[in-house]
Amino acid sequence: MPLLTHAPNIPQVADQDVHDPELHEVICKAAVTKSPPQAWYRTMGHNPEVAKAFASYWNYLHRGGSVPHEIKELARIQIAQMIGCEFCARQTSPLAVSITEEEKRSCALPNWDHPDPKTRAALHYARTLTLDDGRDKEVYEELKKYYSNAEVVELAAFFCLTAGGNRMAKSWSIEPHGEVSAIPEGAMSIHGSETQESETARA
Amino acid sequence: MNRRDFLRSAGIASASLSLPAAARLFADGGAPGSLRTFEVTTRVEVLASSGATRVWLPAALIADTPFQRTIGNRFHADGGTAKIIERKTDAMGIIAAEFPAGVKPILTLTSRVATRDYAVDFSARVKAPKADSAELRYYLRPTRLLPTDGIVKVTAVEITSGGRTDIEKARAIYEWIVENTYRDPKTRGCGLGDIRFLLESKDLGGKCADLNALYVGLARAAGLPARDVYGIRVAKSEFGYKSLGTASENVTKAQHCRAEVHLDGYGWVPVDPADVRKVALEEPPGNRPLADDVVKKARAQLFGSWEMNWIAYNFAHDVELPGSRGPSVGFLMYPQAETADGRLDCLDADNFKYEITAKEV
Repeated sequence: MPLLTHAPNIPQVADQDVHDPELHEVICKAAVTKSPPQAWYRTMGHNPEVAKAFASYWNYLHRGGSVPHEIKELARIQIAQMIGCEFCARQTSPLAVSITEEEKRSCALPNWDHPDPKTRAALHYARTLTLDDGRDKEVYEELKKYYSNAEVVELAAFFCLTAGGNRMAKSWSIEPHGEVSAIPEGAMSIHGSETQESETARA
Repeated sequence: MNRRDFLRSAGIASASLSLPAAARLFADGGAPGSLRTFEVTTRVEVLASSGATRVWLPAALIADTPFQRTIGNRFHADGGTAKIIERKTDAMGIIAAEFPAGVKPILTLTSRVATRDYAVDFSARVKAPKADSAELRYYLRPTRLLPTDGIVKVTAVEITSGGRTDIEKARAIYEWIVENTYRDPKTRGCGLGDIRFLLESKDLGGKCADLNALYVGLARAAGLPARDVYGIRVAKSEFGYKSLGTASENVTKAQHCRAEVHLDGYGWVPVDPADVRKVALEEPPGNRPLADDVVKKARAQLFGSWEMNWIAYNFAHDVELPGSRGPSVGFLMYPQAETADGRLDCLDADNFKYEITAKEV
């Protein structure tokens, strides 16, 4: 999609048209936290109350709670790749400094497993929640070795909010995809491999 | 509701008490030499009123403390109605006034408060009465702007990992705030107090509601009960800090938030790392390094003591303004008002408008 002709389905609200001070604050802070970026909240800004409530819940699940932020951020990237949201897959939280480029490139590949068992269990759970119905027995057995029930709730809520947000971002077509796809070739996809290739080719 | 009201909380003496009698207000006696009594008047006149108007003011602290007893909160709503609504867990009183359309909304609150300089003797443990466990649990809770998880928890654990006792941990957090934050003069008002964002941004600049809230959040995340104490400076500093006192009786922009941490054997311990950074930035000639003698003196004093040229309003977070259609406020330290057009900017005193004056009586 050529950059200059990109037409989002929902345009971003211009900064001068943001009159709600709390929404303005949410947008300003997104410049620092970056995941999601300001463009997300400028688009959601057509409905300030929804945008503010989303920000509050997102901030808690993404950077709060008791599960380490790096684990959730890597799972967020994995989900973005599986859903095929270029906008979401390009983002990186600056707080997740330990995530490597190799992890980002590999996290959604079908034959790759994370070396850290706790991270691996979370990625497996994100995968089954995104691609399947999330009830896989083996995944649960693995998950419960490392996470309390409260943490499983935290992970599930975060993964589902992420998946929903990814679909919203894709639907709104917030930004042009850019010259290089952020979704690695061969990544698992909710659409199956054929559609994934098609999505990547459009980028 | 009577339009002119006068509050006398149970156990609190009449506003007409003379100064010597006020010494008896403090249950534990204390040093009468440091006793002071202030009368603080807040006058709100909403200039841009449209439709019905609501105004909310923080009353002076409604609970007794070693540093303050409120003698009375007297309020008057011309052409409207007003009442005080109490949230005892936070020692907060909210003066809530309503004015019908067509009435010029004017609300006046006069608080008379006795204060006494407050210092904890760290060489004399076990004097403090045992605190209520429910109260201590309450001051360990996360709030909207003071989460105790994520980066707050991680930072708190890092800071306190070398501390063996609660007092060492409390001091470690204090020293960390002094060393790692700075007072940002561009911050509006006293700051927002969003401590998660403060840490995430890696730009630890702000004012008292940011830096002392950071102290409180980190302390809670480290397992130490702690609370912000929102209030206002009412007099010049007798301790010799120009930057930590008022210059005149007009204290409209002198709001200041302090902090307390609860330590077994000492009770609620006053701290104010934000004021150390204020001394560093503002004490003439300004921009003093931490190694400066004046800053070092303030740093030593402000872990364990407060000069009471300041009065406290409340310990509250996430305050729902009674009858408001708008969102809760992170804390109630400024006058708040709402018209048919929405919430007014509480930091824009001139256009709001409000004026706060204080005098020693």
